[in-house]
Amino acid sequence: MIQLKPQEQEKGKVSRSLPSWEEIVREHQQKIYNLAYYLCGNSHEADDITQETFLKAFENLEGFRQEAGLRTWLSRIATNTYLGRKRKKSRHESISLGETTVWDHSGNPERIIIRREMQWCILHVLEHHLPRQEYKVVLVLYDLNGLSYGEISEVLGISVSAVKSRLYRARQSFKNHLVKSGCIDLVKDYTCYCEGANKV
Amino acid sequence: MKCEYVQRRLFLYLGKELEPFLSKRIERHLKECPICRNELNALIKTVKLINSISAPPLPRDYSKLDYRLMALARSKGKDGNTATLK
Repeated sequence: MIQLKPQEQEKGKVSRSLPSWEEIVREHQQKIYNLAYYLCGNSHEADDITQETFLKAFENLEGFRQEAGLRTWLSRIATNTYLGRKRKKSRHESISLGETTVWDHSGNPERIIIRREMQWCILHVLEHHLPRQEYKVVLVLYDLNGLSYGEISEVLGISVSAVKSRLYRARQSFKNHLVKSGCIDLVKDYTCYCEGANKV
Repeated sequence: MKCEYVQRRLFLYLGKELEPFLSKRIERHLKECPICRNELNALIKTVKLINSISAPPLPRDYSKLDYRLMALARSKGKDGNTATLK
């Protein structure tokens, strides 16, 4: 566990070269929460994973090597925390539509419902229709969390070419599922118009 | 240029990650091949669809949590005493 000097504890400082712990959390919390949410598809679990991630980071901050960026390091902890929890849970636990969060500023109830269904579909495909868990992880890290190939390579401890290969297969699997279900032809302006008729 | 060769590189083409000469060759192929054009359109839709997920708002400000206390509670929990994270 990290040992803080008394004067550092008072100021909330963790190291001379790093920003204060509070600043670190404030800067990265939205990205880490989003990552957790996209991985587990559930806002309550995402809250737990985020909390657990920052707690683990706090406990291990002394071991943080600055050649990796803080965001990369925190993303690695969050991803491993998610995978650890996932291994303990049933593979077929499903995401409830009621738990799907949609952040829509339009105020249009119909649009919110359509987007909520769409979001549920995407999370459902990510969870249940990609042949391998690692495909989902790389897709979330790259397409949803905006990490670079190099950063993902550090998060997952694999080569950049392996990241590219996994990403290619993940997107291909996702696309193949949309084609197979027929949803790809019904998606207009990136909202769902199949109204649940195409069971994904 | 074979369709399979083109289709394996469409994501890289979309991400502008190919050498310019290869991108031009793929563009020429796409003009002539409706199958690969369909594949490209499906990939564009897929990526945009995945990116359309909205970010949920934070349920709390994690910087306000007392991590020292939580870490202490956890270490006590590991020692056999009851402790919770929240």
